[in-house]
Amino acid sequence: MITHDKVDLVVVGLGASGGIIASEAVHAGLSVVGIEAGSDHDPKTITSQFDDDEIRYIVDLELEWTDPEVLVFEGGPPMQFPWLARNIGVGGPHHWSGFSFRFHPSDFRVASEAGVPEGSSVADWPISYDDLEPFYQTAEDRFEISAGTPHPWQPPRYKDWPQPPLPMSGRAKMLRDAASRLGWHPYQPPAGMITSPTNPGSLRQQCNLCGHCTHFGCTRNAKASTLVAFLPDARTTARLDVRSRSHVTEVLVDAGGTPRAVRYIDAHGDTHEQPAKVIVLANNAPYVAKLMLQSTSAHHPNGLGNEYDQVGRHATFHTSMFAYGVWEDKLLFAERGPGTQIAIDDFSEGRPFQTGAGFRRGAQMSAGMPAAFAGGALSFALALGDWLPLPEGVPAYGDELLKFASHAFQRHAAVFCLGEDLPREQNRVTLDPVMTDRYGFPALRYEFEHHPEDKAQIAWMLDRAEELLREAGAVQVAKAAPPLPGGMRAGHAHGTTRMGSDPETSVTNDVGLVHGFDNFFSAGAGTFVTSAGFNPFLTIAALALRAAPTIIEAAR
Amino acid sequence: MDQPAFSDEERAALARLLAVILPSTSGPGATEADAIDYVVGRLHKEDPEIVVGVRAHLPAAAEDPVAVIAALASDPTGPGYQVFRRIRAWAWEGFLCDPKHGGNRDHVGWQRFGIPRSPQPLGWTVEDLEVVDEGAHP
Repeated sequence: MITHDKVDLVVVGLGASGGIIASEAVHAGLSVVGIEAGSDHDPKTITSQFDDDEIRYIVDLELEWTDPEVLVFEGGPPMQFPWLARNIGVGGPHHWSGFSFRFHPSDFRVASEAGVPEGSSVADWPISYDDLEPFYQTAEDRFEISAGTPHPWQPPRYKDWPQPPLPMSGRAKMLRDAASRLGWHPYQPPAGMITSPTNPGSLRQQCNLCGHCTHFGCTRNAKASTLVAFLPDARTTARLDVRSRSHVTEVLVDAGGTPRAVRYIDAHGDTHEQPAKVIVLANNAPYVAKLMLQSTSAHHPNGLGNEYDQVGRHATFHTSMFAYGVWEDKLLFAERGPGTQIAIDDFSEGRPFQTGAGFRRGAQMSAGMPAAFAGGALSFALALGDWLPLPEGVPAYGDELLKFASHAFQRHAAVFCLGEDLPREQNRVTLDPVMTDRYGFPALRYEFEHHPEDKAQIAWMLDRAEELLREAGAVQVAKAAPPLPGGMRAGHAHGTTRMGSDPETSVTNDVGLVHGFDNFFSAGAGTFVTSAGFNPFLTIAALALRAAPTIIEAAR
Repeated sequence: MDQPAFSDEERAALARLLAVILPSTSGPGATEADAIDYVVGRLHKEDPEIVVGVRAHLPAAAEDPVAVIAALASDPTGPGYQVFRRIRAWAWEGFLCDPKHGGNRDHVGWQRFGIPRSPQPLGWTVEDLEVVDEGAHP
């Protein structure tokens, strides 16, 4: 056991929220240790570390933690496999698509707007959109987000985006025009990509439209991450100590039951103890819950912060629906350009319900990216017949499959729908009673069942996706919802340390301070009350910026 | 756990299975790409259970690879389907990987898919993102 000197703050996980909180704390004069399960990266030499090699990032999942979890889905038998797309690496997110949406005002008050459907645990957030708006703006400025174009449901904003929009591809224009013919309101989504470098000396270069966003790290630092937007300044001080390839296994408490240190195992297998005044768990949401549940003691026999059996509950993932179309005589080059093409909010929030659909919260549609989200021919081919359905009549192997794949690769475009799934108290992370992780602790176990309204939303949105592709001229369409929650590699895990004012129904307060403590925080998407039908990155960042002053004050 | 290397006979049988997945009927397939070289080069990275599962079918594959693939792929809920999925993935990976990994010889896979080059570090221009109408000519 190696015991380190006590520091002001320990941050577990140096990604979207941890990178921000660590950086803000360092600039406030605190001593900070950041412990990260993945590797470290140097943005000055990152072009030699990241590349477009699909074997590295699609097959070997180099930027993901691939230990298996246990998933019990819809009451079926336990399945054991690496299912969560848990991004690792100092300065994340690295392998994200770049969608940089704000949530909408109604997303923070779903119970008030839509009621609480039976069998759900829908609730209002303890904060409003207005509370978070200034922090959205700061996040957009610091990450240098490129602009979206106007649409009828754009959330209120008081300042322009810091970067101009990305160029629009030909296929995006084609799908935009088709959506407009259907009476919908397509727009170009805000994106975490630099389009016009303005900061002298910046590590970030203009996006070169390479098409390798999702699953890949960015070779030009064009894509926003805390590696290039927050941590570089913080790392110029001696106050930030980054410990990569190190895995926290427990939060330790003192004789009075107050968190005092974390225990972690480094890449060599050595065990360390790092004491701190304040501890922030900012790793992947379900693994925050796992860490709290396995941090048991005499004072906390059911896990830390789990006095009312709330840790791990109210898990959400977003519903995930996809369709792709194939054009007979058009080269669309879906593999070229960024992962953000066009977006459509006509079916988000409560809009479908207001027109008679059988679900209260909707889904956002995005269109124009490749069917495998990103990458090249290998990513596309590997998905076919695996998690991506083949059009009717195309066999699972053989010459007809090869002919279809090689024809469709540059003649296809996809539509994805990402929906708000309703939280349920029973959808939860627990510790598996049988399987263990590589450190001998119980493996993460997920028990998850879609609410009936989620299923209605999935079916309805799949039809809208096909409608758009047909209108745009696709001659073949295949569509499906993945058979697992959140997709075959679930990337948007929220909830499990829900924020709220009542300790009996939530885990943290509105800045992530775990109820019952004054020095122990949960950061990131774990604190989301409801999932909203939008990609979570910018909200994670805004919440971290809002929480940072409280965390800093607690650590002084 | 490292896997024992394939014998020459096993290697030949597995290459025949890959060629059933991606045959050379209408153009280059797994054989022309040397997909088998990719597979044998990464055995140490593969799930041992899957490799054992594949190996068990190689004697039969030496005789009739078409029948082996047909049987494995016949039931998506059956135990053989995971073996089929991995063989199919190997075939694609060996056909379309960066050639530094051992397959995609002379870029035959990329050429068949219309890929002129690796996009990094050059990326694409705005003009490269435009749709090309193949039906525009008479």
